[in-house]
Amino acid sequence: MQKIETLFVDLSDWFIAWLQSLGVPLAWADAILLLIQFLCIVGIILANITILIWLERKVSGFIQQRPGPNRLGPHGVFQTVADALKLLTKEDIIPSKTDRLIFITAPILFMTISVMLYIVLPMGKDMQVVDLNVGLFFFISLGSLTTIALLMGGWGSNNKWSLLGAMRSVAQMISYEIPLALSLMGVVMITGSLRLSDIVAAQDNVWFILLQPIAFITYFIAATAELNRGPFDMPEAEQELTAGAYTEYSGMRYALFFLAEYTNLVAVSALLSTLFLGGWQGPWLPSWLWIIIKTYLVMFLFMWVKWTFPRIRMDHLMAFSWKVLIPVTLVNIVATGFGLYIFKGIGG
Amino acid sequence: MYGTGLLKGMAITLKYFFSKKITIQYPEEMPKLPERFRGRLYIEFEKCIACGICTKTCPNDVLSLEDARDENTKKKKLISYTIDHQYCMFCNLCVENCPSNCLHFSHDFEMSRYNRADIKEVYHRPPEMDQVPAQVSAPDSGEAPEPSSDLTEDALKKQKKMEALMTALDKNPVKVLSRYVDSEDDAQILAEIIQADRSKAEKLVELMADDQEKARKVAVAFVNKEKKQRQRQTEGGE
Repeated sequence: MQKIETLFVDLSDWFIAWLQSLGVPLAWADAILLLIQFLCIVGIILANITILIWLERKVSGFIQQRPGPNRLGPHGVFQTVADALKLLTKEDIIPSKTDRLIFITAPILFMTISVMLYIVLPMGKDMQVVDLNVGLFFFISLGSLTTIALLMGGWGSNNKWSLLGAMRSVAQMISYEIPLALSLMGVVMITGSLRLSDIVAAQDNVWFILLQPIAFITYFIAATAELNRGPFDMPEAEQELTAGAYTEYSGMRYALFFLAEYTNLVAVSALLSTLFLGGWQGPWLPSWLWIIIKTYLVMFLFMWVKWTFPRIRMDHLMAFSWKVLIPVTLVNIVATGFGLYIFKGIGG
Repeated sequence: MYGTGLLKGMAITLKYFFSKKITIQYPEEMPKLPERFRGRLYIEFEKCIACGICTKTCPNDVLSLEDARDENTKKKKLISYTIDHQYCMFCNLCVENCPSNCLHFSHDFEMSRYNRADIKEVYHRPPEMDQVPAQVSAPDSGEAPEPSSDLTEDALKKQKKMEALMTALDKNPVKVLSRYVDSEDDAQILAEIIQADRSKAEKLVELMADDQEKARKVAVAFVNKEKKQRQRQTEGGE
């Protein structure tokens, strides 16, 4: 049991020791380990996305009383693989009037930022690529960078509809950035640290979803909007618009945007379970399995919400952020402050 | 209170998530069609009196027939009957107006063919129909004659069809039989009956090749009999 728990940590320790026995200096060995960790993260992301896209289609089907994809492989599990192959073999089209450099870099930047989010996520006990002391801050600030990639895509396409779609995305994402960050403040106030491993450690006895239920709900709503997922998927409402900022993209470039969105979904779900659901902590099972289970439960919640509610109107969306979410999160911060003050007063 | 509507909606979708899926996996699973579904038009050749009302009533000239006078009885008799399915719009006028009730819509809707000529269906007068006065003792009109040297093209076709049906039955009895009975379960029961009694299978296949409607009736009768027998057995066991 203990072996399974520390399996990955032991592996990396053993790897460093092996490199050192070959005469590689420690700094170099660490660098090589970092590279391997990066490859692992990419592997995790790709594997998760393959499952996730299949899951999304299955869940949407089940909710609409359909069986979902069920032709390729048992229960259609290879559907995503087939889709990816189809996208990879498509012709790479770059419209002639585009701003080439920006057009090409936008999806790459989007994907890069999404992958960078995983650096600070604790994926188990002592399993974190970098344990930044401002981990949460790093996550939020990188998350808001995706706005730029979207705007680049819209601007580079040199198409008014793409630009309008991108502007809608930017307006929405910037508005929801505020409640997103504010709703996490309660957790930070209780823990007294922005370090994610500290936040997990602080949930040893009680999960923060019980101490901060309002923050959980507001963060969930803001994250849904930030991820451009339904019911807040205005910028790329598949049924009504032509993919918003992605209109001019096709083939693998389009797929990269698509992948990045799902990468973000996994990252945000993992963060949500880290901050509010006790992270990798849990009985019996190894820690890295717990975080996977919790992340998938949160992702199911995201899908459940997406396929239940109708799309919200743009002005309602903005009004909801500025007139409801931000005041509620501010009140929550004040209440948390009072609570902490009283609690500390009682505790001595 | 705010939010209760949202929770209600989520409860409904969760209920749907776990409910039985309503999609019919068509090529593997046949859809359950309503009783009066208008599929491929077919004629019961023996019942036709060659009055020609159907050909006159058809708005699209789908139907045509060839008739002749019987030398002995001086009655009109049908020589061949042609249904050109490509023009049929399933208006039901011919079926409604047929005085001898020999035109019917079947439940077969898989009518696509590789070329236009195959869509047209020509029924020829089966040779045994002219032998009827000679063998009055044979009561079953559906019985096919023994394969003899003077096999006509039609009889040969029927023979082939029967063979094909028999092999299909051996391969996947439930799928074949589910077209003749009401449910998959009934098809399962029927398959068991047929496997147990080869003569029944042969009889059924003959009917299938000859007259779908009759085959369906016989199949349902088989199943009902078996069901009753099983029920009796279980009751007796208790």
